[in-house]
Amino acid sequence: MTTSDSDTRVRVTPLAPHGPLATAREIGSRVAPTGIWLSAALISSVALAAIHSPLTPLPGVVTILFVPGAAVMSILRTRPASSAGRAVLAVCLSMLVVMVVGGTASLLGPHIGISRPLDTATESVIWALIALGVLAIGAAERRDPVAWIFEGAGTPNIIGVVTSSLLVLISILGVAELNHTGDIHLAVFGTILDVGVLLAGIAGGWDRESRWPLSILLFGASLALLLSTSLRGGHLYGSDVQREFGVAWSTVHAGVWRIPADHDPYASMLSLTVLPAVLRSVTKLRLTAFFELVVPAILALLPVAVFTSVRSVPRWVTSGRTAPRPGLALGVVTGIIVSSVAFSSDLVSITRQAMATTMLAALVMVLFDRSMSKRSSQIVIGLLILAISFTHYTTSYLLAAVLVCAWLVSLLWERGSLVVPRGEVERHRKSVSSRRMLNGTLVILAVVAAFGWNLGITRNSALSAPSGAVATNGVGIVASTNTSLLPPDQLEHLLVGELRQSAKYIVPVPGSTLVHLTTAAAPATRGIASSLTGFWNKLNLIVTEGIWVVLGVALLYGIFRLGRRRSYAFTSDLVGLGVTGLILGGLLRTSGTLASFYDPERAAIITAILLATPATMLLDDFLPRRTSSMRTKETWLARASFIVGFLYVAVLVIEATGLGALLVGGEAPGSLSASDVNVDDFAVSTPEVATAAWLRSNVKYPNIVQADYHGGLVLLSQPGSYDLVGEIMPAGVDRGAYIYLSHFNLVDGISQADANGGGSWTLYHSTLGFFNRYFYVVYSTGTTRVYH
Amino acid sequence: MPRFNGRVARRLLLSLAVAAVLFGFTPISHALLRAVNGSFAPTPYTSLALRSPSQAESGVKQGVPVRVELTNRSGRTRIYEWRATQAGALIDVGLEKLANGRSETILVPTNHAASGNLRVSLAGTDVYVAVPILKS
Repeated sequence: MTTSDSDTRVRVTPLAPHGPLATAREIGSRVAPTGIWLSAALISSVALAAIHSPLTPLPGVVTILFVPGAAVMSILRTRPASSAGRAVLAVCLSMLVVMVVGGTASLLGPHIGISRPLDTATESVIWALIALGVLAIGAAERRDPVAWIFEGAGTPNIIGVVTSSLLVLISILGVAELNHTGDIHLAVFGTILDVGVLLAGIAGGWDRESRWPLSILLFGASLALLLSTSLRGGHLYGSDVQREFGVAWSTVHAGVWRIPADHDPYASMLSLTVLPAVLRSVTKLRLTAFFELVVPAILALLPVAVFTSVRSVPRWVTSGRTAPRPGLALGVVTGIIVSSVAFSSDLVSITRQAMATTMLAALVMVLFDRSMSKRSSQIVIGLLILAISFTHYTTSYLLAAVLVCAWLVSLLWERGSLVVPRGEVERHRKSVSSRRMLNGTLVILAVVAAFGWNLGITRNSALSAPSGAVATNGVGIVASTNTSLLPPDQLEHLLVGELRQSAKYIVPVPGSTLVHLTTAAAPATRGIASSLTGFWNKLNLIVTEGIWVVLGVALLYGIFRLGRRRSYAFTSDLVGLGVTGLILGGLLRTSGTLASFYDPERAAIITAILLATPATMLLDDFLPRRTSSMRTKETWLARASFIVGFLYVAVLVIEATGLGALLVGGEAPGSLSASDVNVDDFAVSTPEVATAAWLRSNVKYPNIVQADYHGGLVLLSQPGSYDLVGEIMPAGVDRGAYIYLSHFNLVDGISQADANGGGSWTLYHSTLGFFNRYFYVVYSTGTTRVYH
Repeated sequence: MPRFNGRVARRLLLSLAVAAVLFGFTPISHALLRAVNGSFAPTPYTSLALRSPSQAESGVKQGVPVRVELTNRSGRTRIYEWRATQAGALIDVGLEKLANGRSETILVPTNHAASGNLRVSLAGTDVYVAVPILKS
């Protein structure tokens, strides 16, 4: 017997004819794969715990991040066509389920006598019930969630899995060696290998019939690159992630998530509070492991989602064209996603945005996936919109703005007001199974979800600072990425002026303005071919800025050329999202006001996600097609275009991964250096964490703790009740303050100060003589110190 | 006897390989980390802290012992030699044996100290704390 649904036909077995036992066995067989999965996860977790394996949480984490999402897809009777797309969507929907379940338990629990609903006991019961519910629904619906996801997937490509695993393994060993000895050789080898595999994938997948396992290789190489950063140092690597850890730690210790009374945007996000707390309670996952391992694994799905989306687009096209070359799709994703500054450097340490951007990429993937029924797709898109609203406030607002703008543009497109005559669009609708996914309901949902969660329910302050700045200063169309390096004395003057306004309670030590500050140089890598620095920097600038030109041309080409010539290939959703993506990226790239609140590079990756498809269509249209009647000149042209594109992507990925800095010199990323300025700024050592924990326990409000700009990062991961002031220039140090000196300040003897909201900064030699003269050391580890 | 086709055998092999990696992870990972001289173990350190950090502001009267907390996170049991000095002159000295992960409060006598700065340090390290001594 078969049941048909909107997406696919599912084979089910008939009810057993005899006896209750036979019926129970038959019902069990309907959900056997999920039952086996859950049992295997439970048994292996217990067995791994019995042998004290560090992998004990792994089966549980994989299960919680996969099965709930699979169940949602199974209940909705929908799934993307490709296995990679299914995996991405299952993880994103699972995160939604975890956040909704944990959030609901937190809000309801205290009212029914459960004061700590996020603790192990309560969460274990909840998830056991959910597991039973999943099995019951699967049996009733005759659709097993795990089988639903894996059906037709076949055994994974062994070579792809082994290669990806090796990349990840070498990356982990490389960072272990770098952390322990400072030797960068294995880390560099691993990164070269990651880059090599991505470039080899482009070449190997160039043939349209290529069967290279590109999705697995893309995931493996991306994860390896991300882990080489996230595992750096003795604690979490980066800036925002320290505060995110502090928020997660507070939630875990409270055993419940509450709407923050201080309107803190971080504490309002379920992705930073409920999600890590539930994973910790149910699977015993360490909190640091959530940020160091789980988030990079989720983020590594982002390029896979974009790749899947780009690969599936020409499914709409019914005449004359096949799918784009897999290698071309991989090249586009490697060039504009993996090589973007946001992906390679930023997002791994801004975990809330990493998760939300991955969900956004999954949303775009579903939007363009024509193998899913329209209604199911719209429901899944709605769920992802909800998930993004409590994963990251800014992405949520951006998504609402994007959907509003894209919807309006797509309406204009459909009515023939935008380039393509209405008649052609009508013909297109009738001739092929075109459809418009974005509708008023989704747009309203996005707006209500963003503003409802952030302003209505949690009333967080995420929007108040940027909106206030825009109201005061306007958008401020200037180059948004400019920061100025000032001499220390000049910056001190600026800083003292700022502190007089913002921290009037600071009483400086008499004579502190007389302390002479001397400029320090940032530690940097020399490079093995430093004579090429000028050439490489110019090449890089041209290549990076060239991406914007390609994206802009791709959109215009799509609207004016593809839209007119083959309107079936360029739908209203594609036009709407493309136009909006370009406007968004351009605005944030040129607005000085907005850039101080939202890094333009992080906006650029959203633009890239929205425009990856038009870019692929443009390039695929330009590439000469190989035919048997090809002349020598055309063959040469085809080869030349491949080589130029290949080299273009190679330059991008070499620079993004930090290999460029090793080649020509510069500030190498923390993943490839032992002591460059990035390591000093963002890597945190164990003694630094211990010092932060000591301050949390021993210094209470109304005391002040002062630390320099980057030294103070670790203090955010161990939040105390004291007031934190982020500078230690003598003229701005309060005479009664506790002054924290990090490894960089004390051992390297360099401090950093910022003013103008990060617009101006300086590096100067730490003023240890000043602190020794006027303060006493109250805590010391040899590499860190607290003065009072 | 059940017959295994290629697909089933392949999946079985894959499952066995996954199980082998899962359960052999600890010895395998230790061997690999040793081979590359790598580690994710915390950086060893020793710390000294004033038990009452506000004493840096209020001072300690001569004769009242200074309470200093010594913490050993060096990864092994160590015997520490601490020294209390004033302007380079030795006021007191002592030994403290401490297991890894443990903390101990040292009582530093100030009977022979004069008014001024008292520095308590660990011999052979740059780890120290300081406190002002006031006349009794």
